[in-house]
Amino acid sequence: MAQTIHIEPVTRIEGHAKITIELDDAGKVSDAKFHVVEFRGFEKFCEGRTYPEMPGITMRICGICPISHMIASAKACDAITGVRIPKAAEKLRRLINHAQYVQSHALSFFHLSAPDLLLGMESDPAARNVIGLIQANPDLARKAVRLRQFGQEIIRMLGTKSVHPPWAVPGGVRDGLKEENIEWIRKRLPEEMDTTELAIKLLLDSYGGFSREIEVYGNFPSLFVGLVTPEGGLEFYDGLLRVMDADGKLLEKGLANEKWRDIIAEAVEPWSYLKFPYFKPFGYRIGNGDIPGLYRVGPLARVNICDFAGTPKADRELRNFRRLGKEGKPVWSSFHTHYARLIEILFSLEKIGELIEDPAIMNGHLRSQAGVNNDMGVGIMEAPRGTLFHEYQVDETGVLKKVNLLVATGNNNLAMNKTILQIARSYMDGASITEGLCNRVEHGIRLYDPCLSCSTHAVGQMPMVLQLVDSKGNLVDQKVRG
Amino acid sequence: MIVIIAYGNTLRRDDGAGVFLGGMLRGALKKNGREVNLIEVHQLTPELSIPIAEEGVSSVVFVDTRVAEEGKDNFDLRVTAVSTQGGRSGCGHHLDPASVMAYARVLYGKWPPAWLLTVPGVDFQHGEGFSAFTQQALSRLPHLLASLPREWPDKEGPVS
Repeated sequence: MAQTIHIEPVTRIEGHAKITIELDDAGKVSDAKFHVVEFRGFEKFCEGRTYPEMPGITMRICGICPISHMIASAKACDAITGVRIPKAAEKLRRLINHAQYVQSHALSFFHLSAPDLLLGMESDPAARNVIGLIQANPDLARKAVRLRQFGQEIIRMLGTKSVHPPWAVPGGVRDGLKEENIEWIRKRLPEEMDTTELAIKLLLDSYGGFSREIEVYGNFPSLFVGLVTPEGGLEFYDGLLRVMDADGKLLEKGLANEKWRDIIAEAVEPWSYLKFPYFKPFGYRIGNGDIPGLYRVGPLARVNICDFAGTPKADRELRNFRRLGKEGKPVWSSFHTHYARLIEILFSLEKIGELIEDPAIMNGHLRSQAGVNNDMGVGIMEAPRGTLFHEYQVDETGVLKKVNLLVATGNNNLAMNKTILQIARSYMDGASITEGLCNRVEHGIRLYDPCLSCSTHAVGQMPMVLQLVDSKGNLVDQKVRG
Repeated sequence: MIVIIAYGNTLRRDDGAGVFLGGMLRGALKKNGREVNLIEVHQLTPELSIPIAEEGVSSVVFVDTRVAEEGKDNFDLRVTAVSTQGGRSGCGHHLDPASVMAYARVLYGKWPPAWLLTVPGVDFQHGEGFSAFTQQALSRLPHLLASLPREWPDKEGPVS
């Protein structure tokens, strides 16, 4: 008889989740599902509020990527007012966003994933955690803490608080940098650059021991989506939407942000609160087969789709990274997201260095003033986990009529499910779950660094259905909520 | 110097009560002539080990909301000692107090006495303001402090 195995909760990711691995009559894995059951209601909650409040409200969605929500929201508000923000404000928003990349990617790599990489995926679970890691390599752990602190400190300088700074506003930002801030950043940059390069070396040195993981941790053809500069460079703050297929062909070279709905649609499944976005022109599902519109966002997608990074060290690593793709194609294996993430830290550190040496960043004109000039505003930016969309509709007084948030974790939902299935099929041995399998499935999910408290924010739309189905497809039991 | 680390989401009703209580605790301790560094955060992260490990830190108080269920909770403020040996999981986007203390101990060789002060919460919906249960518990801070040893939180003693 077919069996369903549940693994919950998935530790070391934000929020809560349940995974279902379904076995067929022969005991082989037939399907895997990543259920998101945590419930957030920010989209509904925001209706009736005024648009200038949105950067402050939406940053409360998450304690790890509040800056991303603040910036995407401020950009959507800029679009409602129709103003171009002052140059200094744009540079400062870019600076705080790069600082966010440093702290967020450092948390993901050093504190979440490194225990598996450095201590081994099959090692004693009691030791395979961050305490085990800091005991095994305290020097690296100290550097990692300081790298994350570096990003947090820049955020604190600009926004007063490192979490939820009320700083980016429609039309610009509230405050600028001080000379002493620039001096502090300048002094710390070399140390943080060294730490990142050391991490890259450690990661690449460990690759020999992970050849099987590289083959089966999300190693499949998919589309890749993200922003690039108008010239095709790596871009985190603004730019054009690019879509690349698994062979490296550009399906969209550079789409204007407000046309995002032309290429992305969202499907709903009854077993998860998290929506399933897909590339609209390719469709969602053909029968029970694969999903042609499946795409990935985030570090792997960004470094795949860009033509170049635009900074010396990141470009050097990018050239090395490209060699991981087979026959000149994009890099498919999500395991390489670790490397992509470290390249992005390097890129952000170099960009921070560029920005603080730009005299224009010290200009005191930081905010353009305007009221409601458009009834719709779209703000798209690259959050550390991937492309983040904020779309607001307002009435003539600026009160929000509708809010749509499409977050990075949602964008990667299909890819995460496929990754879990691939890992389960490769490592499932018999009808029991080993500690190793559990950890591999979790590691597969963490490659996407999902932030589930960000991603489930719809309310009153999707019933939650729990089903037990036998091998013949008969419904044995069902529970419906909502 | 007492480090108070108060955390929670101030837009999720009672979840923000820990942050509010952190401010109350600072006021009360300063009134008694104690030196306090209050840090307000959304959740606990590794770099909080750095201010804990600074020279002159005599104790740490984490302040949070706990999920309280009727019949299983006395709906009062609660103080418990925090281990410095590492807590559960320790690898998530957020840490627990024991993991933050373990960071400070292993990386910087510092382990001042640490406490977790919690306020009961029952309403975690979107919005500001606290439930009646939580408000009532918050008002009992002076009573709690009066019941603790005079040297708390710098020195250990009998606590709830």
